[in-house]
Amino acid sequence: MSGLFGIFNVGTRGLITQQTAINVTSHNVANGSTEGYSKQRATIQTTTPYGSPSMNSGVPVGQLGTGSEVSVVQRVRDEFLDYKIRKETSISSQYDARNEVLSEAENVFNETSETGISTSLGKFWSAWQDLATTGNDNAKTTVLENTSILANALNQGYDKLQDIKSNTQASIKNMVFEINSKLNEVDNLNKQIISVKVAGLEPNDLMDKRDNLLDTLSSKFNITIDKKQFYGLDVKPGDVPSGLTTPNLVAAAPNDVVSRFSYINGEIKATTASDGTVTIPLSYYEKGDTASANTQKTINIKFNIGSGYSSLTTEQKKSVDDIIQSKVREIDENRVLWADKDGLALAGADGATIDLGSVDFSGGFSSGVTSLNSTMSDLNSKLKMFTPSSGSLKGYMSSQTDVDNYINQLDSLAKTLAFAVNAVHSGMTDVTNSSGTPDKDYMPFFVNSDVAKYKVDGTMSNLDDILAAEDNINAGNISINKEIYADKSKMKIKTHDDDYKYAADNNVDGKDTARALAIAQIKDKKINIQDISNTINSRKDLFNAGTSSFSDVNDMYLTNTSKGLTIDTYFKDTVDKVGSQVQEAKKIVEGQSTVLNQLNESKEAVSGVSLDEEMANLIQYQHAFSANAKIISTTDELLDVVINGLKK
Amino acid sequence: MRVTNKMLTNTFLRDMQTNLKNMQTIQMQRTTGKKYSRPSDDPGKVTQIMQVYTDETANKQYNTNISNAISWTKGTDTSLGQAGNVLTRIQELLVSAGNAAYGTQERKSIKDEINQKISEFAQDLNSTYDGKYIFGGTKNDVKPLTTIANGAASIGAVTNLNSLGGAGTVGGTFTGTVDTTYQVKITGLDSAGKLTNMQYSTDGGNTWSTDVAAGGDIGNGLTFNVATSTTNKTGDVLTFTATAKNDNKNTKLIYYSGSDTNPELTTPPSGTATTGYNEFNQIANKMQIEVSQGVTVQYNVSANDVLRFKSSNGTTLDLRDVFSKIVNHLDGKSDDGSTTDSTSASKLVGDDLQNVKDSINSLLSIRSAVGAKQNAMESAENKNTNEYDNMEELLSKIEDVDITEVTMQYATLQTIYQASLQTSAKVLQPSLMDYLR
Repeated sequence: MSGLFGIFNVGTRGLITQQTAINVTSHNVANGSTEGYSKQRATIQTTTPYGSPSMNSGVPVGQLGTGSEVSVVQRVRDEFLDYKIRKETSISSQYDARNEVLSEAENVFNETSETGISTSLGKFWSAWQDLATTGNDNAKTTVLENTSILANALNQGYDKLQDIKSNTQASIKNMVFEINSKLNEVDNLNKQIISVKVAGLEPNDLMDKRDNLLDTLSSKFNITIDKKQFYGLDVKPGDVPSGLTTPNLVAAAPNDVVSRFSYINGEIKATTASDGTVTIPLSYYEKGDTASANTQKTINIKFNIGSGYSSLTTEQKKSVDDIIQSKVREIDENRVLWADKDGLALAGADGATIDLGSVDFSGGFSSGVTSLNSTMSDLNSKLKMFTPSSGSLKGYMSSQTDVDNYINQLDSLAKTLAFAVNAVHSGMTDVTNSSGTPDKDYMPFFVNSDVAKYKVDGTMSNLDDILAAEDNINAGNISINKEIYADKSKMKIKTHDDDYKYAADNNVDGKDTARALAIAQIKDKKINIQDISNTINSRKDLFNAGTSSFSDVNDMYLTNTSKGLTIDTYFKDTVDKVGSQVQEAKKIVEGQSTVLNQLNESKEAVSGVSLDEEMANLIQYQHAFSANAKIISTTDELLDVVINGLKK
Repeated sequence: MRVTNKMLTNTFLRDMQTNLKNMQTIQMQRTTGKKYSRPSDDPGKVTQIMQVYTDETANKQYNTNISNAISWTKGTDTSLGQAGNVLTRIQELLVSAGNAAYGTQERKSIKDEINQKISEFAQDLNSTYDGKYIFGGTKNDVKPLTTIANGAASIGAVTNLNSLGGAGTVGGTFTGTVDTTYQVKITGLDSAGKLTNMQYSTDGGNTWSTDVAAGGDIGNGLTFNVATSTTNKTGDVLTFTATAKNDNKNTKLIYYSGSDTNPELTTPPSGTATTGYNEFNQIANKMQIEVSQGVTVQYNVSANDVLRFKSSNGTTLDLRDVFSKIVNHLDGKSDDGSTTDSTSASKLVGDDLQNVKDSINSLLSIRSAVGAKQNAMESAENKNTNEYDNMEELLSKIEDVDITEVTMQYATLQTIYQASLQTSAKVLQPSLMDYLR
């Protein structure tokens, strides 16, 4: 049986309930534009009614209500949408990163402009044509200037691509650092959330914050989330190398071991000792933290290919080398290591050596390669690289492969140009010809600028080194021979220049320019460019059986090869490829952003704050509050009657 | 579905971005006039554009090559025309030389004119284009042909004023540049009448040299001696006349002679070791240019082509020999000018005339070949220009924007953009709060 005081209490409860509801509403309005905020709702329920049948009391008119209370303040959120958004964010960020890197690379190949490599190439050939027609000194100067413009264009393209690659690696490094600190934040929030929940409260805002961080993390790489009790979470990457016992990056259980990532820095190179021991030293920054020298640790990879290796053919040795190089390249492009919570690589302690045993080639080449391949995959499982399948980390890693390919294609172009022009310029299919006259190419047109040295008078001082380094010409170091640049009369443009060490020795040809014409015609010759760096690694290889050759006695005019490409076509193919890849990335980014927009829209529809709705609620609560106050004041009046009115 | 304020804002922002992006693309196309600015805009089209640009660059170069060759062949044609005129004039002169009434004097004046014409012929073939000698092959920095006055230095008979004295003999080759009359006076004899000392004068005996030993040098590369004779007396004077080289002699056409140290290039060499082989080969060299992809044309005529021709009876003749014979015959001498030849007059109107006629025919056929080449070049130029126009058209089709179309698109986009701004401004502004008091 409730009395007036009971009503008084109902009113008071009502006031408090409405006040709480208004509080929640004001919190919602205040966070109307907060990123990642989910609208909260105060769930109002009736308090336990008064009077239940028992031994000593009846229930006269049924149970009487005792008012309302806010049972819980809950955020409104659809967690399935979160899952989908994170998945799509990973893919979208991956292509965003690719688009970012490749668009930058595309600028190097900006070939619709008048200043691109293909324009320089066109001017280079035209200059040779001009020289063939006029034969005068001005035309020679034009050739030399255009050559140096072309070489510079290639050098710059190469440098830019290398820059892009190292910038990308710097991005990976920063990202590793960011991921690790984000993981720590998630870990902290995880702990707070659990303790709040254990205390029986709803950690709404903390969970919003955690979800926000997880969204950010999912843009870096694809994550998997396991829900544990008390709103605790286990977070791990979607891709975990087999055999890894501690894949969790964040663990709900306080004593579980978690992992972090570390970043491999510096140049990665495999060196082979004379006994066939291959070592790949790796130095890494713990958790990507470059701030202090203490965080730099090393780990070494070692294996032996000594036995039977020396009896392999040159080609077989090369393919063995290629397998090792491709592994090195893989590490170079990835650079992220699994590490323990302090950043020490899971593969071993500081300075540890991962010994992969030895590969035996004595049983034949193919069995050796099989064993080498299995050694390489063994390396994968032992080194424990982090290889996400999506996210911007993946985007940066994969776009490096493409940038490397672009660099290789520029290199092939530079090599072909150097080999072919040098061959026609000298009339020699190899840099040396011990039995012939002259015995070597005394005046190569293109040289390797890393090696070429010149005396004070402008002549080459280390011709033999320069010739030996011709095989290593690439887009980064191709350069015109400065000796020719300084003295244009040293250009070999006459028919019989192939019979003399220097053009000046030729007393046969007078003002002939036939060789210049032959060089100009390389433009339309089909050359096996696609085999460069494969079977063709030197000028000599270019003229091996089945490849290019000279069609005339004076060693001037190149023949077409049956499956070759012209230099121009090859470059166009490269541009086509770059363009297509950027286009693909752009299209996927566009498509993904549509998908993401729709998902975000749905999320907003569920969790977003609608001001109109809040206002309506506010009015409702306000009126309810007033009404409750009215109840109290009415009860007050009733009490006044009872207290002051009944006995005067 | 619930719609919240943030959703409205987001949608508006996103759509406005899309509109602006589209407008930016169209604006870019309008301002550059090109559809594509990066390979990724349309890789296939962009590489096609690159291909056309490459082809155009090559095409322009071929055009330059062709124009060069056309000018060159025009120069060649003009020079050959002039050279032909010279030969025709020589032919006329030879016909008139056959006139029975003509005597030595007339022949001499004909010869003088022919000598002039030979020099003119050399000049015609030494014409230049762009600083290069057209007929010089790959040795086009020096004149391919030159003429020299063809006459060796000679020594006249020695006259001894003392008719009984011993005969005087002159040794060596005269190197003086003017004809000189020498007087040699005996100034010393031994008892047997053998000459021991002498003096010489080159000014008619006004001044005498100091004593010179017998057989000694008397200047200008000559030595002198007197045969031993008992009738020799001191004071005897012997005189002779030395005729200088090149003096008033016939003009001879030769190939390039660079300097005194370079040997004269007089004959086409037969073996590889012959002197002047390289120079000759350079003059005879053919020069090539590329007129379209992989098509090379050789466009020059060398001096050798003009000078060497086949006579009507099938033998290969050289104009240098023909000219040399004509002037020798006009002198009334044998082919090489060494001896007097009574049949020389008849040879003039016989073989010589025929040879000149044949050379004119040969020149004409070279000229017609040059003309044909020029025609071929001109048609190549036409083709080249047509190709260029086609490529420009193709390029324009691929990469140029249709301004009308783009302008229309731009106008549409502007309308859409304005509409979106207006709508959003209306939708975003009001909220329930505007109506609450």
